[in-house]
Amino acid sequence: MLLVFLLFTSWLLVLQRELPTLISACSAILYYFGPLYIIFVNERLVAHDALDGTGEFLAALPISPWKRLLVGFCVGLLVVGVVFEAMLLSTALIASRREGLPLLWLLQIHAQIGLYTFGWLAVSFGVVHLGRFRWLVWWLFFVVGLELEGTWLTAPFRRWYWTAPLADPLEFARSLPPWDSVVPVAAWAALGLTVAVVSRVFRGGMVFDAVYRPSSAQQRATLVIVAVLALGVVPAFVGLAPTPDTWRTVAPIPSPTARVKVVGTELEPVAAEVVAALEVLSQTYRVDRWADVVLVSAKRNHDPFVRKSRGASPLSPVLLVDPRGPRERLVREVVQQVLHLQLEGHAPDLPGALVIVQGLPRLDDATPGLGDVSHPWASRSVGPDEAGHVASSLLARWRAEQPEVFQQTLHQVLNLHPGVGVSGRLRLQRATSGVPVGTTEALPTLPGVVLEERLGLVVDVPAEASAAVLEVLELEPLQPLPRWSDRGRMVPVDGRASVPIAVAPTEAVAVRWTLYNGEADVFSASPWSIR
Amino acid sequence: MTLALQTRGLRKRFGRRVVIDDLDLEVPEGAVMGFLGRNGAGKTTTLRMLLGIIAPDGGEIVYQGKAVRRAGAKERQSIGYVSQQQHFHPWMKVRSLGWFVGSFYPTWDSARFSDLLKRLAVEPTQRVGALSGGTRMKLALALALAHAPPLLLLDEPTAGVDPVTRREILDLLRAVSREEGRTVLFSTHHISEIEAISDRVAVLHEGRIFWQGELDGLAARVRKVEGELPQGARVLTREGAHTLAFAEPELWGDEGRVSLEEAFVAIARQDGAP
Repeated sequence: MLLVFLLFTSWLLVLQRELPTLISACSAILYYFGPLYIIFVNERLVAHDALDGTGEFLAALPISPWKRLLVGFCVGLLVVGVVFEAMLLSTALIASRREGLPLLWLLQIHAQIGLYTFGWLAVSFGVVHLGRFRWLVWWLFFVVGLELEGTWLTAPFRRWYWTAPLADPLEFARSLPPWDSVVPVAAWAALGLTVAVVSRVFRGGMVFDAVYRPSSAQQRATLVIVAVLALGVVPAFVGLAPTPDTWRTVAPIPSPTARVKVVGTELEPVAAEVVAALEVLSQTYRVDRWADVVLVSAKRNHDPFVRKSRGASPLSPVLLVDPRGPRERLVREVVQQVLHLQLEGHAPDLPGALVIVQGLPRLDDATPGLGDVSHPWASRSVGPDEAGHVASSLLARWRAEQPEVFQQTLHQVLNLHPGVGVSGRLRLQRATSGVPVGTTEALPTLPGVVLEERLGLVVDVPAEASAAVLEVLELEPLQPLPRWSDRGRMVPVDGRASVPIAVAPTEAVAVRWTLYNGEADVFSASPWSIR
Repeated sequence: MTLALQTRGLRKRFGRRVVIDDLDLEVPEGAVMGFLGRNGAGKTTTLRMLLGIIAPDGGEIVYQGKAVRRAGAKERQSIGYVSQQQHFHPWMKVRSLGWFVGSFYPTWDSARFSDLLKRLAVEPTQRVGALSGGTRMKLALALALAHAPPLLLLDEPTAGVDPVTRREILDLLRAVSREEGRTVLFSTHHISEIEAISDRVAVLHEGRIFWQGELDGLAARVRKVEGELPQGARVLTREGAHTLAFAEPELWGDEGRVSLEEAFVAIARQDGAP
């Protein structure tokens, strides 16, 4: 028990660190522990009654098996619903006072957890009607099913597998409307309820009686043997998986250097223009082969289940594209993504590919940390570095054409930037309230940074932040998409009222105050200001 | 003779084992019929099929002249059932259990339920989980009788109860049969109970009805014979010098009469010797 308690506590601590808000933590707990509670409730309502004889007492009452089944399911739904609702609403109450909680988000979480709960309840209700076989079924679902899922169930079929609508939303679709999950969840729920109906109603509940009849030692041993055999057989099936990359079967748009595949017809015009643009770039910058990409409509597949399966080939990364935007912008974004993929080094995995973007070693020298230095392309030494030029020129053009979108993207990138870490992400979310997450009573609450452009950039320092350090992020110069530098520049304030920072007049920078211990532990930080 | 309950060719098998084979049972209206058989003879299975808890594999059941494949909720409303073991929700109180069960029966009579509890000395405020086995059996009987069903199916209602409780239960059954004219089919191992309250008996042997009819008829058909058997008699068992045999009463003389218990034991242990 102590071990379980320690594990649970450490897990909660991880949860608190990883998830930015209380309501997120609550929904995560429901996602992880909800199914266990649901199985427990169904076990109590169905299996317990069947095993201790109460089921016979209820069966002798003048009520049809259909009604009994319906009542059982509804009671389960009620019990689980009340508990989950109480958890969510009480957390929402606290969260609304502490950090603010948009009503729409709360409604969305409700819809998602409601769907998730209903699906699990129905599946669990069906499984519990399988009597002594129910643990074998759970075993096959959880252990064998999850093992096979990664290799046999690739996108888009994976989203129909039971763990996709029932388990994945936590990681990927939390902030998306849940409607795409409705059909898979309904299908699984229908399957679960059908199993329950067949077990309980078919020929007077013959199946239910049979599976809940006391089993012999031989029958129990057979079940264990089947479970062990299943575990032993699975790796063979994993090895036999036909192809790990679903997208390989999609025909590419013909082109000498670029292979762009399209799922559906909606994005074909975009793909054709992307191919044309890449061909022009190939000729200008002597690119032999671009990284393969698959374009998938984000409109129809806006959840993550269309992504490549685990272990899939890196040859065909999937780009989710919303076809509703202006064509020119879509093409530019896809080309930028292809450039980005190229620079990240996907293409060299192509067997027999000659190359790539000429002069990449110099690019690597110029920007340490960009890409993987052990990657094959980093050691090639051919030609001048022009890849960075391509990326920077595209970036500069974008900034000039759409300054507001560009600025917004900078904010988004900053939010997701791995170098900023959790503290920065949390603090950014609370920037409107002006309370940094790292603030404690012992430390001052720092105001936002005031940037003034005087002969470059001068940062005004409030008196209470005189002991702080200015953390300055700049854009990676050679990236096709806005990307902040991995390590921020640290400029000590040293009691000065204003601190000059040497940056180019056109450079985009993000600046904040931090009180930190020099080992990347940020105790307190102000909101980022971006110029 | 109007039949309250009848089965025609009822069959049930569990896996490969045939439990009930071509069962033809007739329970006249207003009769108290004892249902005799060894352990595993199929008595409980028969009663569960009659109530519709499990479905028969074949045959039909006739309730009050209406044939059904399996008893549904409507038929169960006119049947009072007491199972061999009582498994009520232990967290319920006796009174709330009565309220719960009563909500399923349109003819439920709360006053009658209270009277029955009082008569059987069951405390209505007690939790079911705290009741002894005998008291639970009495509670089950009260629940089965409170909606005044025309037909009662009782599966060994006196099993595992003390002599006093047993007497109370038998007295109650006798009363509801004689005073209210209800039909009762009850299984038991105790021949004395059948002799005490039954007017008819059915003997189940290896999934079939060996014999059914008036109570006196069974003992009258079994005789202990020393010597040659009359024509048409069927050997049940051979025990040393004598034979226990089964035949129509007119074939026998006055000698060799056996008790009902001896007759049942002979049927139950029959070895089929020629």
